[in-house]
Amino acid sequence: MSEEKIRVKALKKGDHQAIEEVVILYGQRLLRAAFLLCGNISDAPDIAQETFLRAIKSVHRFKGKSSLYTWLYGILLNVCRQFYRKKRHIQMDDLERYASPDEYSAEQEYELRDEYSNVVKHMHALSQNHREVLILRYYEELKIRDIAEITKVSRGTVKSRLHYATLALRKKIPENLNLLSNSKHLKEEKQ
Amino acid sequence: MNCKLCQKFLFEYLDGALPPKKERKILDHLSGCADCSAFIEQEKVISPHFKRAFERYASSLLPDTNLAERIMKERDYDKKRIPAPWKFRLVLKPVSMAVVFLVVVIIFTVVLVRGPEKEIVNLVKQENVSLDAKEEMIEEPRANWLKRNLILTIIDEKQNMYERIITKEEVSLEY
Repeated sequence: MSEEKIRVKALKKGDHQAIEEVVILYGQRLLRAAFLLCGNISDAPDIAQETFLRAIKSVHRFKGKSSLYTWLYGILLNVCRQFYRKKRHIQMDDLERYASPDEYSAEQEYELRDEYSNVVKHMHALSQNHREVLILRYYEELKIRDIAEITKVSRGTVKSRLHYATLALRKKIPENLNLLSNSKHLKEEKQ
Repeated sequence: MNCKLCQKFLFEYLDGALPPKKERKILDHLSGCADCSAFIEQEKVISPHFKRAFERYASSLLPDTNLAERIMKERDYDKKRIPAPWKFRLVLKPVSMAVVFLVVVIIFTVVLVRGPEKEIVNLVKQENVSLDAKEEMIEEPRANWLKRNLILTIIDEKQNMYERIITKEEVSLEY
């Protein structure tokens, strides 16, 4: 029996230690995902906490068809959706909070910060569905099949959402900052 | 393979999720198609760029060291609030629903079905009331669909009676 199966079995029994183990294992990852999805530092811990509480309550429904993390991510998306149905709009935090890596010079760092902050800022302006597929594809680096499973839509819908989300982002990012605009394909599309 | 068909599988091609035969067909198409190759190139640019942007944004969030503690506390609070274990609650829910359903069915049978039926049976059993009067009483507006059968019974009874009278008359005529 794999380690994850043993962990899930213990979770189903309500084992205190297994719950703590899962929170330690996936907690920070889910917290960051929640932060990316909601764009707000104060809401992200609440969303992550609610995700785990719901998962503990409904762990008996976990059939083991996907990985535990994928299942948890599905719950996280539902919690986020409910959260924003109540809140109606996203209140984003200041993007200047970015950590500065040492590998760049001050000038490079400034340019990159602008470029990256633009991507994230415009990503948060997209619809919830488009934001979800972007994060799942490019941050979590999941395959189309897994994204379809988490978001509970068809593969075709995932691909279409990805296409429109990247298209919308490209339109919003200024030309001089748009790394993506250098590609020949994009130029043709713009014409 | 044409562009439309190829574009349908480009994401799966990037994921390495295609069967070898289909992957070869895509590769053949990509070698001769600038548009589809450009899409692959674009994905190769976008992917690390977005990843980096999202990672830098997410890394601004400090690790939540109290997350596990808060979850355990909240869970214990939930446990205290609901004394029944989840297994019991799972059983309780369908059982209570079944009980409610049974009660509703019994009420329906007793009040709506058995009530008027009894009333009509008593009515029909009354010997001092003529058949016409019985019929009239049953045809009151409050009579519902259940009474129809009894009306038919009365009509049958009447018909039998008339038949008996006719045969009696015939017999007497013969004599």
